[in-house]
Amino acid sequence: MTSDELADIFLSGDDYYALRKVRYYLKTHTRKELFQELLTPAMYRIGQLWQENVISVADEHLATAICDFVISATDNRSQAEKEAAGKVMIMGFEGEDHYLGLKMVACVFREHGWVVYDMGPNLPLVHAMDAAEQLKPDVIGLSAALVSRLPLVKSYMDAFGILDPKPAVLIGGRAVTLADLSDAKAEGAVVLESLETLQNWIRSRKERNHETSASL
Amino acid sequence: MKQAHHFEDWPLPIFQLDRELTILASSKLASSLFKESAVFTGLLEEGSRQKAVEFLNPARSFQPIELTFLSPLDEPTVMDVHTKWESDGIANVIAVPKDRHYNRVFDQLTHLRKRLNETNYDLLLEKERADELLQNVRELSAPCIKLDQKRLLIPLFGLIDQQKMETVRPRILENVYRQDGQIVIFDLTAMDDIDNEGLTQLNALIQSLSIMGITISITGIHPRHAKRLHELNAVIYATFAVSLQDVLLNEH
Ligand code: B12
Repeated sequence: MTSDELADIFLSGDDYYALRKVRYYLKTHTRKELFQELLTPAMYRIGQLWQENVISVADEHLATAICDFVISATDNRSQAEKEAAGKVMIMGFEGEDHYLGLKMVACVFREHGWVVYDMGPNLPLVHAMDAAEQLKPDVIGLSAALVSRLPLVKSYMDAFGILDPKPAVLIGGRAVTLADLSDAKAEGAVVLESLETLQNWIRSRKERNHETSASL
Repeated sequence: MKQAHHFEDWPLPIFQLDRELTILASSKLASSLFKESAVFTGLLEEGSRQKAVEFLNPARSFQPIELTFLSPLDEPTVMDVHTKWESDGIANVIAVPKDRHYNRVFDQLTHLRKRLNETNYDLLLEKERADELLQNVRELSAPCIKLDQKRLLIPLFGLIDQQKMETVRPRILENVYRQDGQIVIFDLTAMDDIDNEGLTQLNALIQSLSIMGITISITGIHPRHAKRLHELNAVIYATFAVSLQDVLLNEH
């Protein structure tokens, strides 16, 4: 099945057919491949069809709902919390409503044994700080699909900087591939453009942690 | 029929554009709803500009298109844009806001999704709280009671399984070590049952203690525990006594 075909199934609104197709795909592929090679391109294809005036924003809503359903229905939570590899809190910037990327990021962390607090998109900074103070995450992940959200990066970074213990901050999403985030990087943020790079980051962090605990 | 040259007062955003999409004229509502710009694409959210350039073209503009406009405060709004090109290369363009009901349904969708997510989050916090309580209960299922300089009494409560043993084991070892106990008495009177993994773990604990040079007694054994202990088919480094009283009297 190609991602274009899956996009058509999303647009038809047939949730169980979409799920069957995706389950079949998962027999021979990993979940990361599902997200990266199939679901994300299918949603980008939806965006392309809107650009070509073939579909409307209402169709995008429908496609999003089906895609969301497929992600939830194939989510494997059994690995989560087993290893207690760490705690991550993820969210979208205030004013950002796109949330499928966040859900995928949550799944990737869970597959690596992390406890995930998915705060959803559009999280105002005050709420983010309240939650962070309570949950004390090791890592905070931010997602932006809208380029117009990126000016908020600085205020979020500054606020997270005063947390104790200070979490690592990851920034990802479609918008980071389109804009320059060198200021955020200078403040210590890790900018990751795909689930692939996220996975590498999680793995190298694990290795680093092993080394530090071995040298103690 | 007379042409309506003056459309400033129309109750919709209306524009006259040339082929370069320069705004030649617009209705009053257009300037209050949108940002200020000399070109039409300047009113649009970035992700819509390319689409506008492609479709606002005399060869293509039969179907209405959806475009995202920006308000003076940069809030995005999607509208349906209808266009008609005149022979002189001028386009009449009307932007029609989405039906109110349509927007209401969208907002509701977003709200519902948020609710679901919050419920998930609350459940997660509840679960963590429950896990914490469970952990406390596990720890309480084998308290270490110091009887005197030498002796430590450890009554086991309830059902003893692997998780409970794993929880209490490090604490028992730590306690025995710290209090410099020489005799540990496990009292099984209040123990409901013990499963196989729990038993294996208990035996491992007893072995660790005996390696530390501790003498171990087990009392309060119910017949069903006895059967279990027998099934384990292992050497248990402990002496057995019928009741706690017996041990206490014998040791002194
Ligand atoms: C579906 C969709 C919608 C749905 C969103 C449903 C929802 N609640 O999620 C609806 C219809 C509601 C919507 C609304 C809007 N949208 Co919209 N939308 C899209 C569309 C078609 C697909 C988005 C999507 O789901 N992608 C799939 C996900 C999985 O991809 P992703 O987010 O990039 O995530 C991947 C990576 O980036 C990464 N990642 C993401 N986050 C993170 C975080 C970390 C830490 C890491 C490591 C990685 C990571 O992981 C993912 C895995 O591959 C895009 C088109 C496009 N090309 O993206 C437009 C698009 C993003 N939308 C756009 C716009 C403008 C809007 C609106 C403003 C106007 C409108 N069209 O209604 C509103 C804004 C609402 C708001 N306030 O946010 C523009 C943005 C343009 C820009 N300048 O940035 C786009 C590009 C379309 C366009 N050309 O106009 N949209």
